[in-house]
Amino acid sequence: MRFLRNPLRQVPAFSLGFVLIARGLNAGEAAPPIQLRIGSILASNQATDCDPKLARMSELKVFKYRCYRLLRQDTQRAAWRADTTFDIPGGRSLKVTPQERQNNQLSLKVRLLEGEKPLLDTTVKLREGGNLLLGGPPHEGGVLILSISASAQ
Amino acid sequence: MTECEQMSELLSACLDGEVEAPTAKRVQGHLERCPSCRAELARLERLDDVLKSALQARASEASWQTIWPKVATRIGERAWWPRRLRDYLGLDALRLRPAWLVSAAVALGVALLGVATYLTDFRTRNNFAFVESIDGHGANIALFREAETRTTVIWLFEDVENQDALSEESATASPGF
Repeated sequence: MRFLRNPLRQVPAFSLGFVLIARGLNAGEAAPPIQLRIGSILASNQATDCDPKLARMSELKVFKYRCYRLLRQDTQRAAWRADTTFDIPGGRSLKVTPQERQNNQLSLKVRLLEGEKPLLDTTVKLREGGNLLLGGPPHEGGVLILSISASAQ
Repeated sequence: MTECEQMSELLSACLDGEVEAPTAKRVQGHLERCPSCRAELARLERLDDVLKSALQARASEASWQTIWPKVATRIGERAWWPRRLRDYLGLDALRLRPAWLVSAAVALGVALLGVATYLTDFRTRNNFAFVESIDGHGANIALFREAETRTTVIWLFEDVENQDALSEESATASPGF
């Protein structure tokens, strides 16, 4: 305590202490590995081979398709700020780059490509366990809807 | 400075018993030789007697019967708990000082910064996915957020002609936006 009796030492010492405490309270979370899950869903009005597990898709008023079928689902462990590529039906691919994690929000850079041709670039923030739907590319008489979800491990 | 002047400064200290034995002996030797300093000592002794008698008179007039109970009460009172805690922890050195105010101001600034950051991120603190940027590379794009299911959808009209054909197929066949 003798060290702190000098007011000239108190200012920097207590300031540093308070800043460290405040920084600790506001600390950005550490960045654990992230798991990405991409589901490729075919939405169409041709009611054949519908997936009953996707019946809840019909609850989305934004879509007015009669039938939803899961074509493929891939889960990959991704590194931060590195591309992770997912194959999408129809010769397309989805590149996902985890950017940062802040306040339980995962920031992802997402690129949809058809061969080498970029179709869409977007940067989104997902709540852990939340998902984003990306749809529109035509496929087998319907459209593809990609479900993108991410969670830190 | 003459010896008498030196002795004059030492006489009061000698009367109060505040000098070492060798000094007292030196003063005593000087007093035996110097009548003026003996007179000065006598004057100081008289003044001392007057002061003591005056103080004793005032003290005897004081009403200790009324003062002492108050003192005893204060002694018996328990100190406020922060004071006792500070005494227990030996934190007397950490009394409020300007340095604390500067530090507290810094801490307040950091806290406000944290609140600002929290409020900035508040818009993303829900189950909606938040789209920060989007580029369709020339294609038409629609962004839809459905409140009921808290779902965010990006719709890419990759092939406009095909989408038109899809929407012509039936009213319920096209996407809802």
